[in-house]
Amino acid sequence: MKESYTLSASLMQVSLGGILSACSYFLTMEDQTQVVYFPAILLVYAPLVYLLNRLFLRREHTVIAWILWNAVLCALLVGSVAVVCSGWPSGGVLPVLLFTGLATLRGAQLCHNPPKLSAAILWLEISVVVLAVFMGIWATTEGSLVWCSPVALGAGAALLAVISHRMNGQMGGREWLLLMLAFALMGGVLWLLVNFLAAPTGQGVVFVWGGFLAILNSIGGQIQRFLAFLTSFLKPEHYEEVEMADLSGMNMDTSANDTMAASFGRLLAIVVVAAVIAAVIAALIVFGRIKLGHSRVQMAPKKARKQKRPSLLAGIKKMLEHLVACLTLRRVMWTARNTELGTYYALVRLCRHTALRQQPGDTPGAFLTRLEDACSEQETAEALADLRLRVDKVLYSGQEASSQFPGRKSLKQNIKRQIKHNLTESTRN
Amino acid sequence: MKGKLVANRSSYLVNLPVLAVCLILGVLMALWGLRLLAAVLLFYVLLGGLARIWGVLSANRLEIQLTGDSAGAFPGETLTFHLRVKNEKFLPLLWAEVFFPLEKRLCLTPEEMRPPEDWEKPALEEGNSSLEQVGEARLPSFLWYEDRTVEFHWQANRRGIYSTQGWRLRTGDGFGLSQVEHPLTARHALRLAVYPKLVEVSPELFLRNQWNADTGARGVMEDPTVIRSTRAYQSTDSVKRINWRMVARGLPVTVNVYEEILPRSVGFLFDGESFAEQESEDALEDALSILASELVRLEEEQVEAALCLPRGQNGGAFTHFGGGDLESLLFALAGYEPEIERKDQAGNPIPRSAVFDLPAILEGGQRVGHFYYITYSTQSIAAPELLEELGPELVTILTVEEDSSYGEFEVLCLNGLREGGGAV
Repeated sequence: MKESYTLSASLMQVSLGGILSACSYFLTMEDQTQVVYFPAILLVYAPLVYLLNRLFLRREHTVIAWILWNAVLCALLVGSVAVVCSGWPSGGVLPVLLFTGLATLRGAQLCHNPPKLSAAILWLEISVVVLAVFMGIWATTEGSLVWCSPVALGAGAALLAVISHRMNGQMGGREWLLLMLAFALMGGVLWLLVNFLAAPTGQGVVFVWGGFLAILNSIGGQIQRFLAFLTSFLKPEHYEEVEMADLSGMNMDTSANDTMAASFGRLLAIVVVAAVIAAVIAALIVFGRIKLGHSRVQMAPKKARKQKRPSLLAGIKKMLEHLVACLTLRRVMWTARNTELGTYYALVRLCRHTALRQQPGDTPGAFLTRLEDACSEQETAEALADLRLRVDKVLYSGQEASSQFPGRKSLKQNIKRQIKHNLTESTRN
Repeated sequence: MKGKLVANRSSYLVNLPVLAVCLILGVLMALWGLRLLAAVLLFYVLLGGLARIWGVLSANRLEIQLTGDSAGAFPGETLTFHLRVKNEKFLPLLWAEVFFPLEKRLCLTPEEMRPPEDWEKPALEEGNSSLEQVGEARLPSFLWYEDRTVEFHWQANRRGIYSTQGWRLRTGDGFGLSQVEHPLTARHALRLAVYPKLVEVSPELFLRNQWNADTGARGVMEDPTVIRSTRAYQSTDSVKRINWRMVARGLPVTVNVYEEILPRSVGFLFDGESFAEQESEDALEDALSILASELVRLEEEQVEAALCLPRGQNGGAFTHFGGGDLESLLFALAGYEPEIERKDQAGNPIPRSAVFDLPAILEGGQRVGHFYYITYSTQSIAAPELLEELGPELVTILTVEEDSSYGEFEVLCLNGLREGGGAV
């Protein structure tokens, strides 16, 4: 199997860089004037050293040359730290050398021995534990949250490394989209959990309920205003007289009336324009479907793709069909639960995951006979024989099913016991 | 189909105790006001829980069918399989792979192999599979209700039988945290044979007896297509022989008497046990190659070939008379392995003996013109009683080593059958 490890290994290196960055911060936590460059650069350096090693080993080299190459890479980073930080960070040169050396060593090792799935999973587990530990430290010390971001980034990279390893680096758009959806779902649930369910009283669910009520009130208010606006145009027949009569007595604001009329005109214009656009679109759709005359040339069918992938809509349709079929089956079984056929279906369902299950092509008679043969209890075997005769009569001689099949409950219980007994025996053997 | 969670290939994050601890800690942290830490821990719970549910459900309602273009191949040829996977659910499978344990001697190998991982070895050992290499193939992702067929090309390397019963489909959640695997059910398993290697051989030795017609009354049989005469029915007559046309006309019940013919036929008795004592396996493989090649050549010459193999590692004795079924003869040769050396209570090795199905040979042998007993040497013959029963007139011994004689039996060199292998 051609494995594609590059992405997986690079992401593992990002994860290592994140952990080393966090460790570096942990060692120099008391120093308030530390430079961001050194620990942050490890996030870039760790995957880069792996990729550079991959490039280096594309051609044949001696081990000495390989070691020198890694030493040069390591020295370059240490040098850049010295230049950028104008000296060494507060922890001294030792942490810089140690963490750079570790990242280089791991990068070179991953290049020589491609990571196995178990290693990727182990790295993910280490990353999540480290993230939890750092979060705990941050929560108790109330340090800067920025310093937790490298290790969080590292944990995310480790998770992506496992995903990439499982999929052998062959992830298409759909696969990424599905993963994003899953992450979004988890994020949403998490947000709900932390912000509402686990929030103090008055802030969580109560807050949501209050917000929900406020939204409802706001919508109700808007509807009320709109209705008031509409009813203001319904003038009574003798409005003018009333208006004229009361004109002297009322202190009417004519400018307000003008504004109202103008806004109504605008609204009307918008509605008319929208209706026209909708009509044009509908006409285009309708006329686009109607065909006139005879087509002279028969278009050749397009070459079918080798394996057409089902669309999301087709998937949803099938799922709904399956759901409907399941519900129908449940309904039928519930309706006929007391009859011979209902008892027979119940037995088929009981045995579906056992060795006695109904095989493809098995008639009801054949299935019940097999069940009867496997039964060690005389009473149950007799009841099964009776059921077989009744089912055959109902199915093949047109006899109507009786509303009650006597002993159905005890029969089901006995068969359940028998299945359990058979399972125990097979486990023992 | 229901999958089983493989702990060795799944993360601890999907482990139920780990999930429970994370959940408890998450709730406690939330109550203590450490909301970010609670968020992280609850994220682990959600991630692990979702991965576990997705993983376990991914193997549900998954239908697998395996078909092959042919049941056997000669070394050097390629066998093609078609694996049809139907994902009969809405939940997509973002990754899936098929794991193939290989036969101990790697008779049939996939395009790409890898050494097995430590956790895979116990199951391989139990299944008597190769511990050196295993096969694995990545399948494409499966969307909702997707039906896909994947083709595999395997190389036939050396003689042997391979069963696909140990094949496992591995899949899991999209995050890659859990893995479930499901073995291919026995009813979907295929048994494939890699026949012995074909070599250039001459069939003249076996045609000689047919030309000379020196088989006496042996090998004579009735030809049911030619009716010589009819006679009155006797109570010992088979019902199959009754002439039903005459019965239908209301005439007395008569039976058909068929014409007797002498079909061209030859029988092989392969004494595999005589090869077991030899240090090199090549002698057995060479002998089987020559025998398989002769069977193919005799089929071309329309000579019926019978084959008798003694009891071996893989089952009881094989006896086939009647001809016309070259594939089953080659299949038997592909699967033959001499018995494992047995020891008595004192730890001394029990002398080997080739256990043939003697009654079947004596009964079926009536239809065979001449038998050829293939052994390593006359000193290592493992079924002398069979030779005595059949007699020197009916049997010729073919040996790998050039031997002088064995009683009154005609002894010839097996390697002389090779094309250009010298006089027989």
